[in-house]
Amino acid sequence: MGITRFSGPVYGAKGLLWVAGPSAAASTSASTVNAFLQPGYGKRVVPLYEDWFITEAYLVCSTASTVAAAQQWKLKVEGGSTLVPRSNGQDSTNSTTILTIASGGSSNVGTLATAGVQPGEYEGVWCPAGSTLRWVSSYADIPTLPQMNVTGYIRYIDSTRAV
Amino acid sequence: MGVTRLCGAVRGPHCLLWTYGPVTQTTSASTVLVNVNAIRVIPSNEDWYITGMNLICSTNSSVASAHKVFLKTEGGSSALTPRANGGGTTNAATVLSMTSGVADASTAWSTYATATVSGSELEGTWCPAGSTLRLVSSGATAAAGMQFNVMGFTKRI
Repeated sequence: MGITRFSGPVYGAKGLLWVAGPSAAASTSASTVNAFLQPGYGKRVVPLYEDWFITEAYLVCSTASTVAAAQQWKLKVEGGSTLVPRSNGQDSTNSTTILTIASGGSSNVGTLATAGVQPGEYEGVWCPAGSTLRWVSSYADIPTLPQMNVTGYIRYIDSTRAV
Repeated sequence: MGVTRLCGAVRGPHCLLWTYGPVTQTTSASTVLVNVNAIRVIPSNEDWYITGMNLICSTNSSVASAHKVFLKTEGGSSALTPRANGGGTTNAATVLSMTSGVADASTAWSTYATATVSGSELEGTWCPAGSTLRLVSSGATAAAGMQFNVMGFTKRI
């Protein structure tokens, strides 16, 4: 036990990265549209000076379909910036589905999903600096007030930091 | 890459510190809270250094620059242990600000702003233990579905 007092900021520590909602769910059933009713609400851009590695997401809904897997949510990453080269020569963009969460047949959803593992990493999906994270969904019945908690860790990119 | 398995509590990691919303903007004055609960006090046993904030809105004005948002810190506690560097124990500052732009003149506004760097730090604005964070805003029309994700790191005192 004990306490480790880094003076910070320390990059690489796992923690909560992004919270979206609770807010009204989308009324559409397509898997490539935003999960929230209002356009653009369930998305955000990763800051330009750091990469994110998303390891899990936890989703809750106050009301969902009682049919198992009737509702699905996907967390996706897309883009990045070609202006931010990595020291190891890898690309600076990525487009992939990070994880999928499906309803379990209860009137409430409270589900944790683990992301895939990026090659060369111990855990987490790489979301490059400047990329866009999007929550999309599909379902026959509209759920009520989804909220997503996204966890992971951050990697510093010194090539773009103005310090 | 490797994994570092500290037993914790680990102070200093860069992470999400405070999330607020979604709420609807209720005021247009720049010195008044975005919403009645858009405020929080930092614990009295640690300093916070805020590095940036993400804001998403479900609806906002179609006029560019119609909305401005400010994150401010105020106060602290002179009763707390003085910092090792001899600095004070209170701070009053605007941590960061956001202005809706031409590209945001739509029904959705998603943006990120980086905080001012406090002296002797690599990044982040110093928000001392016991100080109060406030989200204030201005706008001719009220934005809706405002959700704030405040990022930074903590330092134990």
